[in-house]
Amino acid sequence: MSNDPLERFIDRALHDLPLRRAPPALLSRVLAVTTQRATSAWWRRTFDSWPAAAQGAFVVIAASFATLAVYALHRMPLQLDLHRHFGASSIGAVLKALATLHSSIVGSLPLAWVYGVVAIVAIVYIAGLGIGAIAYRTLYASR
Amino acid sequence: MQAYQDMVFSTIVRLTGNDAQAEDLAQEVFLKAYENFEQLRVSSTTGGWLKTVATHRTINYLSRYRNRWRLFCELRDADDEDYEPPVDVATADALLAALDTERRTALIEQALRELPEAQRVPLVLYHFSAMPYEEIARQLRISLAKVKIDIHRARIALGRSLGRSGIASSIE
Repeated sequence: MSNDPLERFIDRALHDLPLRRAPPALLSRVLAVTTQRATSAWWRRTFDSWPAAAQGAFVVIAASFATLAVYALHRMPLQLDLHRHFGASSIGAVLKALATLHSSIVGSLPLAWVYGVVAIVAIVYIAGLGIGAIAYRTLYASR
Repeated sequence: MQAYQDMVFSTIVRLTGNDAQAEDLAQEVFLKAYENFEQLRVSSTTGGWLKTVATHRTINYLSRYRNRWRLFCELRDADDEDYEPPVDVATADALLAALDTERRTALIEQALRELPEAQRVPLVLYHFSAMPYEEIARQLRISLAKVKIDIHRARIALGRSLGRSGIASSIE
């Protein structure tokens, strides 16, 4: 503490303040939430309060599904028998052309390109979300 | 919880200056304590833990939603050299001392609430939480010079406000 009389005055004034009384509803609000948390099933709580084994299993399963989806998208040829479903109609012809185009694109794309496109889409999505949130908070919510 | 709820609420409300926000944040602090109940049950520093968590949660809350306020404060402070007349500390002190405790408490709480957030937060951290200037600068992610300027201005504004209130109260 310096010898500044103003600093000493403010310090004394603030230190002499008694504690503010908490609102009566605070205790009941906290108890209501803790009771609700204690009685709800673990899988209905937030992810970070799940049992460690369940968290690990979830991560492994989710990663497996994601890997499988990327692999299937890249490898699996389009096996629909369009002629059987749509006959020789113009819709059938268009779908067949699209299917051929899809097969040739997927078949010729290097895997790195697929990962690159997925990464770019994710980055653009996150950036859009962030810009939107900042714009909302800056221009609207903080008014 | 009953033993600490006034302390937690006071810590938060003096930083935010808003009762409703303070109640929500106090609830979050006690829910965090509930998650760490096993550790806190046998700890002798529960009060300190709660105060630290309350302070950090409130600072995070304020910095998350009020970056615009900070940006404009930084811009304004760069060349802001308004003349600030000195505060008559002796008069303000004497006038406040003459008031009863309840009235004095209400005046100081009101004066604190009326301070701009950029000044109130570092002032409260310095005087109530005994946090050093360097730590305040780190927590608020602002320069050390700005912390000192904001606290100095907060003291002047608070001293002036208390002086005026003390005079008004002594006339009533």
